[in-house]
Amino acid sequence: MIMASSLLFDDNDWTFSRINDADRACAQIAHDELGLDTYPNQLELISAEQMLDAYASIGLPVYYAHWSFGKQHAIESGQYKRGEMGLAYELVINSNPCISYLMEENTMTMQTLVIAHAAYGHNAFFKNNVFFQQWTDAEGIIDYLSFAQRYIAGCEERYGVREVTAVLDAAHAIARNGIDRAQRPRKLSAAEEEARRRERERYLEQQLSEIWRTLPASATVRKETEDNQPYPTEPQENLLYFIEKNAPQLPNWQREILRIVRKINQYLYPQGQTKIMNEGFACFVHYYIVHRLHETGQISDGSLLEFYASHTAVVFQPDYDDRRYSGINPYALGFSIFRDIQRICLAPTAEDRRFFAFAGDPDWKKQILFAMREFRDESFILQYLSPKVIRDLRLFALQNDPDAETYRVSAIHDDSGYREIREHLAQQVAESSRPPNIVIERVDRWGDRHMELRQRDSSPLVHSDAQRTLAMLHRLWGYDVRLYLTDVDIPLQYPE
Amino acid sequence: MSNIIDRRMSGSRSNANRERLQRRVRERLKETVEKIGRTGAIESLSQGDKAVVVPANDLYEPSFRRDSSQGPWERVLPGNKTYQRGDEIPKPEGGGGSGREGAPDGEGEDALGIVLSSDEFLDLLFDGLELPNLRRGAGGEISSEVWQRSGFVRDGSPSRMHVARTMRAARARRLALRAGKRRAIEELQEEYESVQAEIAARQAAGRDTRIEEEHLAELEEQIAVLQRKLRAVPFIDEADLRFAHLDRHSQPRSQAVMLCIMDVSGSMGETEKDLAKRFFLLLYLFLKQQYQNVEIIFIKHHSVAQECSEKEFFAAREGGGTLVSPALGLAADIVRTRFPAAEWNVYLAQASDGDNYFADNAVVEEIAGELLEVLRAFYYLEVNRDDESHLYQVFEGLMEAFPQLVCTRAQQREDIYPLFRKLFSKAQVHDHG
Repeated sequence: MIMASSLLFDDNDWTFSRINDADRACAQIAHDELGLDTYPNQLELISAEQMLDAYASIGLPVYYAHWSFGKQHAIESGQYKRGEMGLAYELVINSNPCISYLMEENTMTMQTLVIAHAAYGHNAFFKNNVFFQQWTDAEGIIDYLSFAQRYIAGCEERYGVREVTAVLDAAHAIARNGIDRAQRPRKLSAAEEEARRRERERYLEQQLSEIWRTLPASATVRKETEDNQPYPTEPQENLLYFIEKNAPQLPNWQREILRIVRKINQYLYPQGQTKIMNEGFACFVHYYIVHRLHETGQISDGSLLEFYASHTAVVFQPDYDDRRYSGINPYALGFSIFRDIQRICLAPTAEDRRFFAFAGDPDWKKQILFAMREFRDESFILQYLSPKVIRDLRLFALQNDPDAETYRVSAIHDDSGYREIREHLAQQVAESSRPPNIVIERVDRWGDRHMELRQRDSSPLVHSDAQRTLAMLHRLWGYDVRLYLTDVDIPLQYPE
Repeated sequence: MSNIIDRRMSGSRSNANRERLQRRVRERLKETVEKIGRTGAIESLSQGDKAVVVPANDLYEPSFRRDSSQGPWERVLPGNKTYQRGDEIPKPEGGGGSGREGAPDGEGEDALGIVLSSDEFLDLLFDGLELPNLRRGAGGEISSEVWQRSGFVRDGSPSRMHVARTMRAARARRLALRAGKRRAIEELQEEYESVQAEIAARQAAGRDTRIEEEHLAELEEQIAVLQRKLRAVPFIDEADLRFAHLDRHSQPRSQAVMLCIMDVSGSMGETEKDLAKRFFLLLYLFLKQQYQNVEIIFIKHHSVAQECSEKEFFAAREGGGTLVSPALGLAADIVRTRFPAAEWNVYLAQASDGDNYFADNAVVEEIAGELLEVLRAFYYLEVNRDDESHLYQVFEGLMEAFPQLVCTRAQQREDIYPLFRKLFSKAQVHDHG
């Protein structure tokens, strides 16, 4: 369906009206041809300096102040100024409206690419991926971040920057262990948040005095039943939540800060779980849209070539022995898989038919959108990593036995290796996006109030780090903390 | 339809984080800055941004994390070339995994370079220093006038119009002017309805309704008039305008003058001049950075003394014999004529190699003694001498009577900054040591 259209731009400088036109052209292809469902878009033009700012705060447009963001900024602006790092062309926020940043240095071709990638690719992913739908609240996030920023600034005024920083340091240290993996978080809203905050304060005081009662209520009745029960009754994996609700001495404003850190981390959690899919899908969308723009005569051959240069750089996967290698490039892997889903629909081989029930389905868009909606990285790889992609990337699995003198190649891209590689890669991806599994097993309610934690997975931890993290935990809990590790018998503890 | 916003003008928002970062590593930054103060090239002290390196360990953010160098693992890598299943690959020396993880002790991160602006740098360089004996009471204080915001007024220049206040006033006026009319209209309307009801009742009873209908028309008229009036209440009126008010406030401030006297005679070699200039440059930067109202007067001398500009002072290379008294005499003249001690805090700093025409020392003693009567502090710095000069002894002799006189000696450039810190540190105003 090639329509005669005129070029959206004939030289490469961007203007607001060109961006507007390009956005409209991208929207038409995204919505009408690909059938994407997106949040309304907000495109913000920013300077390189502002992009560095945004980097420092994980891309969030509003964030409370903390030295670690300053550190991040110092590292990145240093690298950028020395020419060691290019800035990402785009940054996009999972909010409604969906905010995408366009850098003023970009050419018009790049702006078009970024709009297609972020404002339609990522945007559709944010809105439709089940994991995002369940875990994040695009409506409320900006409001909530403003609330958090105000609240923490207020605390700094009342209790001093030093005090607030100490709480944030400690909260950040265990932030990754602050996710309820089984439970869907509640909606965010700044106004309700304020009201709930007061309610919580009141409730908590009652609650705490209940847990930490020094005098048994009616001494005889309760003692035998409840009080001798270990507490908590189930191991708790959400360290931040448990401490927020149970720390005996923590002032309420500090509990609120823990909650803020926890909420924001929860909001960010799906991003780590879907990096490959999210980037892969956005690349797939920009690739489709830009090609359609070219086919319909809306961008020139020159623009298409410029697009190829950027696109290729983004989805480039250096080999394991290449100096540029720094792990699997999520853009490369994700894009390869989504493109391959399309190919498996349109031109399936006998091998594809053996591996995939949907091979040969003429409605490739339906298959792509289904894959985008229903999976996260781990299950996506298990489901869709095809022999063809394994061959193209020449993936192989390497095994390390700490006692052996050599590594062993355990699978390569051949018939016997495909499934193994798929499983290992899925597991590797899952593991790298998951924090070590550490739970609170018991707190001593009637004695010295110490807390016992236990590691429940087998990968060894960096001990010095764990020790320093325990110190942070102790700062919040207020009493001795002990951590039983998998690889040693004696627990780490703080104070040592 | 997307919303396109230009954010480029809204500027950077990293300052709060930057400030907190610097606060956190303040002690480290100070160490490094002070090292630069001791050994760095003097010209560069005041110029441009400076990268200060802080060990990453100071800024380490711990968390529970896996140790990839330990334990068994299985990893998928791209770009296989010749490997077959079952191939054995020797482990690299020193173990380790992919080579990207930090050292196992978690302290393998690179040091962090923090870029300080020259203001931030100088603030740290002069942290905790002050001019001693600064008199803030009568005399050394004048008041200067500054403009300050103070409330809101009804007229002013359009550029100062306060929109929120104006709209608030407009709303209040609209409410006030409309409320009465609204109430009146409501009452009339009620009456109107009751009359209508009465008409209906009378008509039902077959009675005459002329009077009532006239009444109705009258009411209609009244309501229409009120409604017109209601509409005529303007949304915004000149009376609503509010302007931010600025007011003059007098603010007391203390004023001070620093007289810098440097020997530029033939006996002052490169080393001596470098030491003296280093001292004066620190002094100059310190005063410029920390004090708004300090005058600095530069005097160079050999056998003749001359007031000069800052540029000439720091570039000075001259020669000839040495007489110290003319310089002190010139300083005394300047103080007498331009900076009466009743109104000014007067300070003097002098640097010399101590070589002075022997007969002049008696004159120096006399003039210095007179000057010291009015000086808040007098610093005599003797550079690059193994022994104390005669001049030094003359000054030392005056210290008994004048505790604000401080004599010190410096041999090498690294001495200058610590010495400077000692002279101006807040805790010890008079150090006779």
